[in-house]
Amino acid sequence: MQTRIVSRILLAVIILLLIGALPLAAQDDGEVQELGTGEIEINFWSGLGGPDGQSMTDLITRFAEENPDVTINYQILGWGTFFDKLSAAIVAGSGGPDLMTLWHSVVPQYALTGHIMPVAEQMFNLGMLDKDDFSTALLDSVSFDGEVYPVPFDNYGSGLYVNTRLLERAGISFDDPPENGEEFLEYVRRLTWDENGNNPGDEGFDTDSIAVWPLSIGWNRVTVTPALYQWGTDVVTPAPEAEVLIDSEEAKAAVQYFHDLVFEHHVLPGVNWSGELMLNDGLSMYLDGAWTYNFYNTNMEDGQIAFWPYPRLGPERGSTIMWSHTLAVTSNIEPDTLEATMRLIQFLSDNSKEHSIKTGMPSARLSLRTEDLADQIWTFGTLTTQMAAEGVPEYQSERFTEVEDIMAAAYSSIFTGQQTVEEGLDDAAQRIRRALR
Amino acid sequence: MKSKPATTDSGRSSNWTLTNKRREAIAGYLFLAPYLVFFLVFLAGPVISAFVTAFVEWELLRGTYRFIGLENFQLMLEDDLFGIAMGNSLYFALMTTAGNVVVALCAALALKSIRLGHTLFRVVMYAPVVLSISVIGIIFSRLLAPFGLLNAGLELFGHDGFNYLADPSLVLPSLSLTTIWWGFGFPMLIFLAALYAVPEALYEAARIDGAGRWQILWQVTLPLIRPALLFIIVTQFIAHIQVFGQPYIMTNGGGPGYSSYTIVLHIYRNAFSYYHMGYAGAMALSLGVVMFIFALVQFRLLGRYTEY
Repeated sequence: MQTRIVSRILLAVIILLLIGALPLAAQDDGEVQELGTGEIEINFWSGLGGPDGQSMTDLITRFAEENPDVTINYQILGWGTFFDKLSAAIVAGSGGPDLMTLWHSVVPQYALTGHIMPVAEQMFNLGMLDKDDFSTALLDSVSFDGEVYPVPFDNYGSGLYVNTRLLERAGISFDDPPENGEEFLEYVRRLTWDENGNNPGDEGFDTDSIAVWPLSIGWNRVTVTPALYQWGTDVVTPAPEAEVLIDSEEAKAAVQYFHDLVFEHHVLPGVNWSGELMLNDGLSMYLDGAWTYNFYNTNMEDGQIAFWPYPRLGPERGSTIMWSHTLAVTSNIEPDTLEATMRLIQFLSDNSKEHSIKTGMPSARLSLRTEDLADQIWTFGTLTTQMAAEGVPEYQSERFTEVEDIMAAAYSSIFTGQQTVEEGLDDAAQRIRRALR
Repeated sequence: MKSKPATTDSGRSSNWTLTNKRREAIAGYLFLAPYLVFFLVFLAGPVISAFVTAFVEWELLRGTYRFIGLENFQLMLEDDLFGIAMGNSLYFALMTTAGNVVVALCAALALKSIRLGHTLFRVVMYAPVVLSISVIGIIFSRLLAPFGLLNAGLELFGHDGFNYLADPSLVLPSLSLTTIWWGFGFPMLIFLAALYAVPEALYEAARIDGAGRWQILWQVTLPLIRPALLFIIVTQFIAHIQVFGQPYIMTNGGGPGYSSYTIVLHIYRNAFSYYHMGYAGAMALSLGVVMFIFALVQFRLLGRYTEY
């Protein structure tokens, strides 16, 4: 009898838990928000989540209010789901988006196969946007056969977040960022402490009890790739030629520098997110992208975290990587919808400064990167100055996703010691060549 | 009872009648229809489609679709990742199936032997099965993180802990343990049902003959639950060789490097990330063949029935 009562209670608890979980399931991504009440419907799929997504939603809501003839069916999707759904829509030939956000790096996959149209070129020709207001390097990276395809919305890069409290402890001035690879290694040494407060090289330094790590190299795609440019190379040359460069001597030297940071200089390999570690003063420097600004800005104590340019490590040049979220339009869009979609793109582009303020991601429009933003966003000045002087758009490929998966696994193998730099990059090059065949 | 001929409004007799047998048959098919439709659309259809796809070059984005014979299978031989992924999947499936059988059987034996709290323990041990892999993946990613709960526990005993998901030699065993915790409840219930079906008289006879606990387990229990054991091993192996969610969520899709990269991840990426549908179809077909061969071997080894 007692057992029966217990099982009934347990059953009731499980059912209640399942019912309680239903609202959570309902909040899953992919929910369509119908914004506006107009006759012309625009299906907009966006991969921007978090603060980026909120900022984009605010802009679209305003557009819908100001344009009563338009309804926007707006869906925010995780990037994985986004590309899965996109492929399904392409196969089905319908049900896909009219407008979508695409990383500029994947644009060749869709432009060279005819799935997106050169909407930017049309908008330049119609005078809706000014071609000269965008970085030439960025426009070149989304142009094929002389036509610009999607419209770059934002334009961001990576840099070095530094913990100012730990800089002070090491006696390093924030105004004195490292100028070359050797100096950077010296900074790494001075910004590492064991539990007894010793630096590497000091007598009694205990490698097994590191209390403050010098550097985390974060997401390898963001942090190692810019170094390739500094050694005068890249993963592949631009599409459609796409010559594989990752097994060149220069590429191996660049990756070897990071390999040595991990295995000889106590640097955390690019596997896990280390933002909290930095806030807790357990990490001195963090190579990461512009998007991390929001996390620190929300969580840090006054001035604890600051931003240096991506350091000059290699022999050839200084550099940072550049990306863009672009606004792409499907090729099979209806003429009425296209007109309204171009209006929406123009509105989003014109108001992208607002997006910058909320997210820390600079606008792709050069005229909207005004000086006042540097006072509001502490990464802004450093980031835009370096991007203008040394920014290199990330490599592109018609097989970008496949190439990037191969590179991610290669970096991971090398930085966890499964393979040497030579083996890891040779294997990766072989796989990339097969993928590009 | 004979059915009355149906008549129309004008009183003409209908030229067809429904006998009870026919009515029953129609009702039977109607009851069967929902599953039959589901089976044809979502199981048989895709299997046939994958079979056809394996012999074509189907590049989704480029829109190419042409018959290329065995070329996809030839590509498979040149693709080192196919071998790595298949090897990882087999290792994971063997390890997880063995672990699941042992844990589930021990749990079932323990449950059968206790009186108090039997239902409570059964519910608690089965509960993880109802959770989705997303939930399990996130919970265990945190538990197994370098600064996670498990290492915090080890630190109490003076051990530095392990990097479970970033150490190439530990990652698959870690995913396997996660999967065992998640899924042993189902085989446990099957074993429990099988254990209850063993006549108590046989145990009494064995005890009278002087058999100890181990002897009873090996000589009486295991031979008599062999059909359940076979069912569990075959179904668990088929399920675990198709592992996908655990590496997808917990190791960023098969890392570090390709240490936890599995065959279904490779098929998934080729189909839905790289759009090589034909090649993915060929790999799916090959995986089907591997599963079929292993199932046959298992039937051969364990298919004998024991009766006393």
